[in-house]
Order: sequence, then structure tokens, then C-alpha cells
Amino acid sequence: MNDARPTHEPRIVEGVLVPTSTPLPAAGAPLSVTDPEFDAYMTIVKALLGGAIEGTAELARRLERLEAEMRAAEDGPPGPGTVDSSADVVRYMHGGMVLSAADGARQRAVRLARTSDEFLRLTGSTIRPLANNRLTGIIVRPIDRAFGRLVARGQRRVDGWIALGQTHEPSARLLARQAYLDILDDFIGHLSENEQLTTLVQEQSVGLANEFVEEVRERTVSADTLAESVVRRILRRPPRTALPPPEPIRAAVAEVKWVPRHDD
Amino acid sequence: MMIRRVAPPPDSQRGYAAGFVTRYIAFLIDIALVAGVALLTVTVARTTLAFFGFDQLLDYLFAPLDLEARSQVLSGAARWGITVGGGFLGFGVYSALAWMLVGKTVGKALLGLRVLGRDGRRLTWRQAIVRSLAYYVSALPLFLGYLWVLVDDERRTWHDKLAKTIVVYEWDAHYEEGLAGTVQVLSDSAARRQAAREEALRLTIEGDEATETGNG
Repeated sequence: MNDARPTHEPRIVEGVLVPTSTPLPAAGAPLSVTDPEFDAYMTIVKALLGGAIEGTAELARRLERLEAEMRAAEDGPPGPGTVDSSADVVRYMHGGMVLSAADGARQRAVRLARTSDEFLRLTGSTIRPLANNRLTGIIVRPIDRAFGRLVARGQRRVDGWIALGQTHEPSARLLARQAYLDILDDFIGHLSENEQLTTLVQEQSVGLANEFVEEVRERTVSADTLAESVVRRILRRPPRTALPPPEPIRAAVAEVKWVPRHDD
Repeated sequence: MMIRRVAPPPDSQRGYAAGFVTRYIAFLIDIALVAGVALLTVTVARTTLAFFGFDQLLDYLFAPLDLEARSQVLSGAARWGITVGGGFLGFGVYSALAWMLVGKTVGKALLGLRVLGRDGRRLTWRQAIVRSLAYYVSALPLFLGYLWVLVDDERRTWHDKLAKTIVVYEWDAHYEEGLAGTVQVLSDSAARRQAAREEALRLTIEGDEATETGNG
């Protein structure tokens, strides 16, 4: 079984799609960063492009689902907002402006494309009689040919872009999706398996909580004595002498530690 | 393995009676805890009753009844009575059980306090019940029984005295660094005032004695 996969995948040379007959490495064969076949720059660009397309598609899918849910809800979509103050009016006006501008931009783009087509057809129909005429053709025909070449070149470039996008978009999306999932899996795996990190997070949390509790306790102990001193001063009572606690109480609250015996 | 009792550091107040502020904050934490649990219980009960369709019972327990105004007032008062009484009862049971079983409530544990008998033992059920009921005795005269900690030499409240208990720090309690200076100044000042007062008293007694001797 021949593992070397012959490829018909085109390459990009100076922004134009060029077919290649160079075989891709065998499936499963390790690819290194230094491999001449691996173009890190183009792969990253592809991953970014795929990520943008995948992300937008996912966002659009979710928005569509949300809107469908909103329409299907018993109460129906929310009704118009209420006007309680002039601030509400200003806010509604700005919202309306944004929505109107977005819709206007879309309509203008469509109109621009139509105008461009119209212009080309008009100039073509105007120039054709002049180019066909023997007298004016001498001057107009070269200009017409040059313009035709320019248009053909532009069309080829656009066709190249379309083919390039068509060829690479699926692999770019797959790459982005796979890379995202792999990175996420690796990251979560790293977090869960990294003992140092886990210990650090636990110790930090416990340490912070202990520190906070101790701080509060210290302050309350100080406040106990302060409050007592102030009240005793007001009542003209002598200061309290804190006698050491009797032995039973001292034993009851003594800090106890488990220590290994010598024979353990 | 063996148990070893660790000696506290020299400036530690472990085992000393706890003061008013610490005990008051611990008390507030306990009240908040019991109130939170009570609220949660009521919410769960309400949701469960609503889920199983006990609407009439739900209305009777939680919503105003469609009765005459007098009955409404009575039922409202009864409902409030049950709520407040249930709260007091719940708090009393919670406190008493906690003192008996572990020697501290959640609030006291957070603030590093422990309730002990005067003999250093854990509270008996009798002591716990007396202390729990004596809370209300301390609260009746405008919470004077609670404020007694501020002036009592042993830092004991009325309910401590009635139940023969004491509340102590069970950690190596010490002053916060920033406040230690202020505490020291106040203590020194109080000590100086006390010394001056005793000196004045001594001079007065000596003067009286001298006068008596002169008269004799």
C-alpha cells in the first residue's frame, strides 16, 4: 500500500492559485516545524480564517435559534419599549439610527453593484460602434483591447481568489475546529494533571481564607479590649485585670497535635 | 502516634474570656445563618406544595385569606407569631445542640470561640437549655444582660452566669498589629488613673487617721 498521497491541492503563488504535483507526506508521518512542506505562516493564516468563519457561522446559528425560540415563545417577542423620560427618547433615537444605517448600507452596496454593471454595459454599448467604425476604430480599438485585457486580468484574479477560497475554506474550517478542540482539551488536561498548579490553587484558596479569618479575629480581639476600655472609662470603673484562665479551661482549649511516637 | 499539648506563645490569650465585639459578631453570624436556613426551608416547602398542586393549603399558609377584616388580622398575627416563635425556637435548638455537641456554633467557630462550663467541661444538656432560655432574660432589659460583658471582670453575660458557663478564645488570640498600640495606650492610661485613684484614697485614709489621732 502506497502511503504517499499524491496531491492536487493547489498552492498560492503571488496570490494566484497554482496547481502542484508535489506529493504530500505519508499519512501519519510526523511533520516537523522544519519540514519544508509545512508553511507555518500560511497554516496560521488558514487557521485564523477558519476560526473567523467557523466563529461567525456558530454565532449566526445560535442567533437564529434564539430568534426562533423568541418567536415561538408563548408571550411572543417583546413589545415596544416604554418612554419614561427624555433619556429613553434619546436612546431610542440612537438605536433607530444604527438600525437604519445598517439597513441603508446593505441597500447601498446592492445599488453600487447594479450601478457598476450598468456603467460597464453603457460604456460597452457606447464604445462598440466607435471600435467597429473604420475611422474611429484606429484610436478606440487599442484602448478597447487594453481595457478588455485589464478586465480579463481582473476577472482572472477574482476567479483565482474564488477557487482559492473554495479549495482552502473547508480545510481551514476543519483546521480551526480541530485546533480549537485540541487546544481546549490539552489546556483542560494540563490544568487537571498539573499537580503543582492544583496544589497552588488549593493552597492559595485555603491560605487566603485562613488569612482573612485570622485578620478578622485579630481585629475583633483588639476591638473587645478597646470597647471595654471606653465603656469602663465612661462608667468610671477600674480597668479589668485579665487573669490567666484556670487550668481546666486552659487544658480544654489547649492546641493538640498528633506527634509520632519514637517506636512508630 | 501520641497526643501532645502545645504550649501557647507568651502573648497568646488562648483560654481567656472573650470580649463583647467578638461575641456580638459571632451572634450576628449565627442569626444570619439560621434566618437563611429558615428562608430556604420556607421557599422549598412553598415550591414543593405548589408543585404537587396543594394550592388551597398554600393559600392558607402564605397568602391573605378571603375572610372578614378581623379574621384577616388575627390570621396575620397568628402567622407572624408562628414565624417569629419558630425562628426563636429554631435558634434556641440550634444553639443548644451546637454547644452540647461541639462546644461552639458556626459563628463562634469562625471567630475562634468556645463555650465551656466553669469547670472546663463541655456543656451538659441542662446547662445548654438554661443558657439558651437565659438569652431572652438577657435581652429583656434592653439587652443589658448582653452588654454586661463590657463591665464584668470575668467577661460573662447574664446567661453565662445563670448557666454557669464561660466563652473563651480557643485560638492564640492576640491584638492586631495596627491596634495593639492604641490598646496599650488605653490600658496604660486606665492603669495610671486607677493608681491615682488608689493614691488619693490612701491619702484620704491617712488624713482621716491623722485627724483621729490628733483629736484623741
